Amino acid sequence: MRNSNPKHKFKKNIYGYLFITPFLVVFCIFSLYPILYTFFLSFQKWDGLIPPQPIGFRNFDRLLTDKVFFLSLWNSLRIWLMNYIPQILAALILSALFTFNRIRGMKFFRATYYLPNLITAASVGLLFNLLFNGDKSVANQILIALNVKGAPFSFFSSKAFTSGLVSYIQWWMWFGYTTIIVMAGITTIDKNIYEAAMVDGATKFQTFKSITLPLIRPTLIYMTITSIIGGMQLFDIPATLTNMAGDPQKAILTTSMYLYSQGFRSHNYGYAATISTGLFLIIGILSLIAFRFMRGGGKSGAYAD
Amino acid sequence: MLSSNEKMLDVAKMLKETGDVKMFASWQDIWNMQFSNRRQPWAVDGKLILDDSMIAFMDMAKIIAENGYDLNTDPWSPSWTAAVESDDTFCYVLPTWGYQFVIKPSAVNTKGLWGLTEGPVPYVKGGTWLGIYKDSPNKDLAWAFLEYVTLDSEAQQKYAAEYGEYVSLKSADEALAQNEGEEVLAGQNLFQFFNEQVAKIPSDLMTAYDGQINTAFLSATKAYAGGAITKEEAIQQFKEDVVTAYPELTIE
Repeated sequence: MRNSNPKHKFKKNIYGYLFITPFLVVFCIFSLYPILYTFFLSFQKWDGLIPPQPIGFRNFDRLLTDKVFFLSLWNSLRIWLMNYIPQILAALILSALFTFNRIRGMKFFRATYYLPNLITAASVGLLFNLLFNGDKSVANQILIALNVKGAPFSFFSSKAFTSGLVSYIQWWMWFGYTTIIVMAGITTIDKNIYEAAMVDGATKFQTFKSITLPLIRPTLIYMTITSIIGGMQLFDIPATLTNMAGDPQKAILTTSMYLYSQGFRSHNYGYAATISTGLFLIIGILSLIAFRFMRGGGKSGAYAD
Repeated sequence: MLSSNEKMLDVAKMLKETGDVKMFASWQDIWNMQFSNRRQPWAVDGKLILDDSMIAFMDMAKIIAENGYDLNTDPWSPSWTAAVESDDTFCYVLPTWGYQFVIKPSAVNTKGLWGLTEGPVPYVKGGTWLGIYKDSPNKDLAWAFLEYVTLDSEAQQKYAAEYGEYVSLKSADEALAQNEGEEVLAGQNLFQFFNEQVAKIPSDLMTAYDGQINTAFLSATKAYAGGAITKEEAIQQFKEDVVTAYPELTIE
């Protein structure tokens, strides 16, 4: 192989660059440039009409003392946690059931669980609003017919209910997707390991706990980090569920909704960009914590991840 | 009967007590009307103004919500629209285009049972604008189009007659007032009705801040009317929300 000439090798590299060019061009125009421009705007005052004026760190000063910003971060995090923990548990239980047992119609169930993910999130938000808004809503009519005490309820007057409903919708939309990814992770595990465990007399639960879970850790890390990124950017469900301003009393005002309100309703694009930059940093930190936390759980796995 | 806010609430009470009928589909319906009852806009010289009529609106919202004079729903929600056909909801408070977008498309069994009447406060809601770009190469065409959609009386009459929409061209509205009335309104002519109302519309108190401030005020009022917070807390929340949305405004 020594005689392969360097010129030929160089040409190959050129082709490599050629193949990644379309991605790079699109990435630079639609991802990199907006990120850098947002960062630039976060140091400006801009209402969208007059040219941006530099104002130094004034936007960041405001951000650090903005109660609503921190409330919106807590809202996003709480809604995410309340949806992600049940979601990963449901996914682990379902994938364990599906992979360790022969269940009739498994493919049907798997497809059904995935279906909610195909509906546009905005329509789902409106749909749930329709189910719960008003004394004559579907939910209230059912409760009245069942003679439930206190019905009809003002569901969207309750902060806890509204926030919980957003988490529930997120769970309902995403547990099928998570199940499929976890099942894919499980199928990559070598069958010989399970056979060895069987020979050693391990129970199904022991096998799952000591073999499956450690071996799908890369999958779980991937799931958690992508879910944090998506969860902290949550927008469409809470925005369409009530009045876009996080009613009742900002219970479901997420950071993305807050930056939308500052940018496109108050026309304060500079501050909206600052919120966006703040959110970017927070998501980075949370992802790092998740990565460290899940990776540092011992090296008992069959291979270091 | 509906000449003042107090009388309007008396009617609501009477409807509730005599036949368990709800006056409104939502208490938020009276918002636009009460909004027109202000003497001052939301902001004057960079200072937030909380007009007395807005406090009165909070009180009315509380009365309606607590006494069950409405369906406890939001405007434009399905149960709000469906109340057109229900037999337990009495009226809607709507601007000129309310007939076209709410009553007319929903009225099937209630055709001919509807009528237009005057509320406590005359008001106007909505509107749009058209412009011609200064560097447009086709200014003449743009003007021809603009003229057609805004000033062509015949075209406006055709449009208004078909959709039942009160248009912004006096000559068209006057011509249409001569026609027979709407089937849904039992023969009442809405153009005739609104031609009389137009003269009473108060002067315009719009500011560039209205969108966000209205959202904040309705949100605070809703929390108060629903019983989650007190009136003082609601006003405090409203003021904080206004500063958050527009830090340049000063609040007392």
